[in-house]
Order: sequence, then C-alpha cells, then structure tokens
Amino acid sequence: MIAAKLGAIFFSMILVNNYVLVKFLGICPFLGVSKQLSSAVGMAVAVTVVMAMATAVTWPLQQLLERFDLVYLQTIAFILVIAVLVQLLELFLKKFIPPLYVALGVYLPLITTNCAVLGVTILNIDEGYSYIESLVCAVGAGIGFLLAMVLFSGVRRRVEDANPPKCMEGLPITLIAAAITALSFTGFGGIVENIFGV
Amino acid sequence: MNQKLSIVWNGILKENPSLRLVLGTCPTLAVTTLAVNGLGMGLAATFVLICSGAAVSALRNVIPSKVRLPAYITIIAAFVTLLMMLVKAYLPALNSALGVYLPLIVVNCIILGRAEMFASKNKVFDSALDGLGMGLGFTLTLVLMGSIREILGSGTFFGLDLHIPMDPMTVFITPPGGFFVFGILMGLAVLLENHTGHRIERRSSCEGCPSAGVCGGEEGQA
Amino acid sequence: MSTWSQSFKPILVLTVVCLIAGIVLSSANVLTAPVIVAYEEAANNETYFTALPEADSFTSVPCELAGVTAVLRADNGAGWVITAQARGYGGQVPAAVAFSPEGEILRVIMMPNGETPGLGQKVTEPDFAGQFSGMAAQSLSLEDIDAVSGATISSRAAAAAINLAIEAFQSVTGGAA
Repeated sequence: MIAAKLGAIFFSMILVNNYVLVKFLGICPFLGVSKQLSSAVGMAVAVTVVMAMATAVTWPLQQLLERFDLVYLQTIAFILVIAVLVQLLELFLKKFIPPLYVALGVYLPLITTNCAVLGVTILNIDEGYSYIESLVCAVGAGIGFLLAMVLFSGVRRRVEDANPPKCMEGLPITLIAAAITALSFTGFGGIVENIFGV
Repeated sequence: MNQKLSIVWNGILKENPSLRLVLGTCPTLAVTTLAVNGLGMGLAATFVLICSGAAVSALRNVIPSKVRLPAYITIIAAFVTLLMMLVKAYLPALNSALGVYLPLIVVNCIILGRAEMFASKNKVFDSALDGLGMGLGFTLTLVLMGSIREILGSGTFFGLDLHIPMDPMTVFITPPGGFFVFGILMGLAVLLENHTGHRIERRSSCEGCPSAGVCGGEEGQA
Repeated sequence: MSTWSQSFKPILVLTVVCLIAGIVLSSANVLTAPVIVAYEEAANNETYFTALPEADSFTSVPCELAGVTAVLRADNGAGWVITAQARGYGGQVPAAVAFSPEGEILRVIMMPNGETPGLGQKVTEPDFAGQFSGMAAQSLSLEDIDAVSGATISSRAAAAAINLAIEAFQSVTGGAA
C-alpha cells in the first residue's frame, strides 16, 4: 500500500504532473539550456540533486515554523535555505569531487532562482506529504525535469534544421515545439492512477 | 519629466519583460488560463517590482557586492510575503486562483533581474518607476495572453459569457495551449519588429538572469 | 580595516537586512492574521449554511478519517455537514456534503479549488454538484456519476472527496441509515 502510494507519487510527478510541461515550473532552463543534450542532462541532474536536498531540509524546517507559529516566514526561509544549500554544494563539489564540479558547477548558481526548486518544496507542504513522500516527490520532479529536458533537446535538434517563417525563427518556433511536446504528455493523464490503483 | 515618463514607457514597450526580454516565462504561461488571473498576477508582480526596486536602490551603497544576491533575495522574499498576507486577508479569491505561483514571485527572474540591472545602479524614484513600467508591461502581456486563452478556450472574457456559437477549444486552457499562444504572440512581436526595424536578439531568459555571467548566456538566442 | 570590509561588513549587513525583514513581517502578520482567520471562518460558515440552510447552528464532531476536514452536526437535528478533500489535478479538491438524519445526500457544495479554470473547475458548477442530491449515503462508484467531460481527474477527485464524506457520515452515525 505504501509502496503503491510512493510509486504513484513518483510516476505521476514524472509523467502526469511533469513540472516543466504541465505545471510550468523551471521554464527558463528548459528553454535556455536544452540546445545540447550534454548540457541538458547536466542541468537536470544538478536540479534533481538540489531538489532532493532542499526538500530534505525544508520539510523539517516547516515543522519547526509551525511549532513556533511562524508559518508566514515560509517563503523567505525556504528560499534562503535553497540559496545556502546551493552555495554549500558548490563548495563541497569543488573541494572533494572536482570532476563532478567541472560537469555540474556552471549550472549550480542558476538553480537558486529556478522556480521548480522552490516550487517543489512549497508544493510538498501544500499537499500535506509525509517526509518520505516529499523526498520521493522531489526526486520524481527532478527525474521528470530530466525527461522533459532530454526529450526536448532531441526535438530542438530537428527544429534548428527546420525552415519556419522568418518571424517564427528561434524562440517562437521553439515554444510551438514545446507546445507539441507538452501535448504528448497530456496523454498520460489518469494512467498512473490506474496502474497503481490509488 | 519626459525622462521619467520614458523610464515607465521603456518597460511597457521597448523592454517588455515577457515578449522582448523573455523573463518571467513561468507565470506568463501558468496563470493565464483566465484574463482576470493574468491581471492579478501582473499587479502582484508590479507591487513587488516597485517596492523591491525602491528598497534595493535605497540600500545600493550599503550592501557589499559580495553578498548582494542573498540580500536582494531576502528583500524580495520579504515583500512577496507581505504581499501574500495582504492578498490572503483582502483578496482571498486571488490567493486561491494563483496558488503556488504567488510565493514563486520570489524567483521570478524579472524582479531579481531588474534589481541587479537597474535598481542597484539608479536612484530610488527612478527604480520605483522602472518597477512600475516593467510591472505594467508584464501585466499587459499577461492580460493579453489570458484574454486570448480564455476567449478561445472557455468562450468567456473576464468571466462574461461571449455567446460564441461554437464549442470552446479547451486545448487553449491546457498547458500545451499556453506554450502555443505564447509562441504565436512572440512570433507576432517579431513580425512587428521586422516591420518597424526594431528587431532585437532574444536570449531565452538569460539576459536579465543575474547568473548570466556564469553560463555565458551562450544558448537559446533568437 | 580590510577584514572589516571583507568579512564582517557583509555578515552584518545581511543580518540587519534579515532582522528588518523579520520585524516588518511579524508586525504585518499581527495586523493581517486576524483578518485572514475571520475571513476563513466566515467563508467556512457560509459553505456550511449553503449546504444545510435548515440548520441553526453546528457542533463539531471529531473524526479521525484521513482527508475529512470537518464533521458538523446541526444542533436542531436538521442533519449533518461533512467536508472532505481528495487530490485532483492541481491540488486538493474539497467538497462539503449535507446529509439528512435519515442518511440521504441533501446537497453537495464543491468548495473553491485549484483545478484548471473552465475545465476541472466546472465540478463546482450545479451541473456537476447537483447530481448527487437525493442519493443515499452509500459509497458511490465512478459509473454512477456524470463526469465533467475532459476533466476526468477533477471529477474523480470530487467523487472521491464525496465518498470520503459518506464514509465519515457512516462512521459518526454508527453505520445506521
């Protein structure tokens, strides 16, 4: 039962409630860093790591805020936690795992202002998820982000070769391509609930 | 006086945050299923833009550049929280319509971008005006997006039934419709620019991003 | 001097900024919190009385079921109002269900939700919410309801919330009816 619920959360975050294509969170990196597969993967992995870490810290923090009747400080506390975590992760990777720092380092500073990260921490609280559920949800959101980035970088390779009307070149036609990618994801609605029976 | 007016005008047309600077794309796509939600989101962001612009500008000589980003984020988050309290207390319907996108104004790149690019270098009053202009430009785009999606997707305009003699095209209020309408609008903006000779190079969301220096802003240009 | 501007000044400035933000926000909270609470209470009361206009006042009854947000008994014996919520497309979909003492569903009020406007939010309209009036307080199957077309997930969440309310009703009235 618990496994089914966790599975349902995980897969619905990837397919049904995909953060980029359905909830419109993290559009900036989706459009900005999806031109090459390697950078798309690097960004998405970094986002996944930060999402999981941020949720691991903000969930207990929320309990603390509730305990002291300070829920109104949620937004400010969460964004500062995310900013500090990103800084720490950067320092840690630089010092201890330099190859990973070279691969992910450039994306880290961009993540503080990625709305998908703040979004997942706040939505976990709004949904009333438990600690484990929140972590699963955060990782699922990250994987969903990865999936969207990888798929879309493939789509974009084709878009670059296409020959649209002059005024649609570049970003406008990329947005239309994103619309079609998002359309393909609407087909997943309801599937996850049926598979996991919740 | 003219100069002050041009600061405001700049944000509405010349540097329209959504369609020309390509900032704040997430709320532009997410909340515009109804025109009224677009209006609410736009005005909420305008409030934060004006206040944080003025505050950042007032503190521009006090905040050491080393910690300026965390300081700006704290200031912006404080104003967003203040806004959330006011909205919850006096406009509860807007609160439930905007949901999580209300606190997410904190990470709206328009606000941090303007703090970094304009407010940290200009006088308090000018920064507030810049915030007003940017906010109005953002609001107008959101209302336009919201109107198109609401009319085509639900057959209503600001909640008024238009009695269009055909079934609404629901796809316009779904997420793919959001991407589609935004793409078409941007295409039209470019078409207009080509005619008037004001074509600018669009960099998807990197231009005003405070971290643009790190990623080099090398990708996604239009 | 250089240590001062290199290390201590940034920390001091950040601390002061945070402190000021904290003070401003806590005083704003003191001012707005009562308004927010009063509004929420008024909104809840309005929902309860729209669901069961025959009632004069309500007494809250504890209920442990997950997803059930309030169980209220009308003090004049007009019936019960039970609110419950289930996950939809864009968050929780809450419903208030009024039951007669005999175990019939009198009215279903779908409370404001974050579903897609013009699509999932149609569950709050009488076309959808009205179909439950007169049904017996027994668990509904999905085949029994007319879903909003194009909004299966929202309709299913609404039905799940109503089912939860029915379950709560059966448990507080001891399965009678």
